[in-house]
Amino acid sequence: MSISSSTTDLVPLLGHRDGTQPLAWRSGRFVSVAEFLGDVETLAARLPRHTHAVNLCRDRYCFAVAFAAAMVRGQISLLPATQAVESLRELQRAYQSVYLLVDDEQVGEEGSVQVQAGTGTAQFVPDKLAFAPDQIATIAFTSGSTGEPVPSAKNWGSLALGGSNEASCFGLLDGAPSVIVGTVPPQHMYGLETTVLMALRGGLIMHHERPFFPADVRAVLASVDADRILASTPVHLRALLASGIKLPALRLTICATAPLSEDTAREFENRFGVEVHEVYGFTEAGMVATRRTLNGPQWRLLPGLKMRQSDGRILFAGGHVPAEVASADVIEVVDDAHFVLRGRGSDLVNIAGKRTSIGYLDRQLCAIKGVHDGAFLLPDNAGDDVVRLTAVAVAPGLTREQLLAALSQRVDPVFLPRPLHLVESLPRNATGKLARKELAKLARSELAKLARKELAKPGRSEPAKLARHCAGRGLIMPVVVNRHVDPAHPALPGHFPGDPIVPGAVLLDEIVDALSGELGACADFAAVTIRSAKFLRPVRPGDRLQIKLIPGQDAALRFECSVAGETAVNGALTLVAPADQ
Amino acid sequence: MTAVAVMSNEERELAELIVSALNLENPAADIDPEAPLYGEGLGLDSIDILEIALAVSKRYGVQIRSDDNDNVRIFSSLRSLNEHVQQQRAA
Repeated sequence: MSISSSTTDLVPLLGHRDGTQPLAWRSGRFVSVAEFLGDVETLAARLPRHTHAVNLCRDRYCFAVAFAAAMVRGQISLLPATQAVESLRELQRAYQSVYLLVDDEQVGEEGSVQVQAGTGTAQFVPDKLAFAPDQIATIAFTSGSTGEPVPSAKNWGSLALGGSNEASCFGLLDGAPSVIVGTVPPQHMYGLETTVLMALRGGLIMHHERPFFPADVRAVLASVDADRILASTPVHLRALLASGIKLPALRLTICATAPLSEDTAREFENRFGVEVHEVYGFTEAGMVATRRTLNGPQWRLLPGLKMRQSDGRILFAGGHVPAEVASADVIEVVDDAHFVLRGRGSDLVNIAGKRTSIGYLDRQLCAIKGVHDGAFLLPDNAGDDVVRLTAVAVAPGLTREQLLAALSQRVDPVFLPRPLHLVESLPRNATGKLARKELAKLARSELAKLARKELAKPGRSEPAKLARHCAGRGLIMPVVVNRHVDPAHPALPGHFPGDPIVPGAVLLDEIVDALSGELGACADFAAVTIRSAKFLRPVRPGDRLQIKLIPGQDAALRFECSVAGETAVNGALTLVAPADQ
Repeated sequence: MTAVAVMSNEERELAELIVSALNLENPAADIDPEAPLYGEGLGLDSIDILEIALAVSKRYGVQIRSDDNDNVRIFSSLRSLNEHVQQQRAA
């Protein structure tokens, strides 16, 4: 079925085939399709006459009831990215004929409608509750190139097809009752698609709760007696692993909002005995492709989707994506159905599933009274760790605390800088441009100052503490340096003719040199000295060395030097602090 | 000068754990034990709260849960978080 043509074929809300089938798990029991329809019917009759409803329900079942009831009344559900009071006011101003929908646990403001569950049952006739594919069902919000929220309207045909396609792509249409537990809110596109639409259209079961802490996730998963699907994010998967918690058997784990590392995916698969699949998408298109992380970097497009290159960007359309939309990411097309993700667009920032641009953040910083100049810096890739931004500002009359307080009024807390450096001027060139390289250099030298101050404090000079201190300020640990052992090194000839290996002393020199270079640029350490070393594997001239500095558990720093993924040398080292300045 | 709430030894230990887990710049001793951890106060966000929960589970063997929206109360201050941790530890 093509959803772009204006067909009159209605698209059903549910993929379930029987009114007694479970549709949700709520408060210790299954809620049947007939009960869900009863709640939708009751709510639809109670909704005020408005064109738009802001669906704020935290309870996923109430969210789904509200979403469906709004559609029954031909109303559009607005899905705000944050529930901050100011952004709700903005929605009310922009859409005018609008009211708020809250769940039965939330306290709404005056005029908001509370969704009630358990209001009765309604008869289920398969395919009877259906909507026109071109009916606008929701408007989601994302930050555009300016960083300000841009509405993205979705019609029912597109949302519905996306939900069924995802369920079929994950092989979930086999009729086995599976419960989807999501750690993401239904107001986020990924949460809407994977935990609400896939459940409705795939004939699956949604869990009403949104667990947060690892122990919550375990409890919520354990509360249901059915196959379990976990829809989550890299941050939560990492937390689940780090907590050492045991999870009940899972049928499938789905992850999105940020790239997941292969290491985390492998550990999760091994520990919990479940495949980890990722979804790639962005608000304008919704989900676009999936991959099993362990199968390599190639993403496979969802059914019906096509890619096209234009002006260096990749446009997606087809299937559940009605009109061409461009991704802001750097994408390399492999073939008609596969691509590799090469990186985020340079100006884009995505932290914890929230998106903005450096340009927008810069403008917010500079708009604060008392700020003469300022800029944000996105540190280089931090692996699965949550990236935190650095900012540098010229604000002679303000303290860091005042500036942070002012900034927190303007931007989401996840974007607040850690650290924020106050400086005398920014290294702009003659035309007023600020090169990222220069900004990064300034941030590093400010870090060095902080580290020196820290070293001078009594009781704060142990390297491990210092390492942690530096890590929190953008000097990302572990520090990784890649080196070649030069085959022309003067110490090499004469060693084991015919079977040359690099002598230990040369190797240690190489390590000290690499790490002092890297650390010296950041924190002006006087010297790096090796305290102990263990040689585990020979190194040949010309081998590529990867040298890592790792903050140790005790008061020492560890280093590790590996060749082709195998550890060649490891040991402990000491940083010698510079004389007090 | 207004009286500043005094930290117990247990609270100080927890404050140090938080400062070290999150790489905060505030010295642990400067944390007001009665100020909110979330939002204003220390200005932590939900990812930080998750980090704190992990650090607490490693140090004290206490898994934090958010039943009945209790975590709003638990994370309302260093003091209430400490009370919760000590209670769970004793249980």
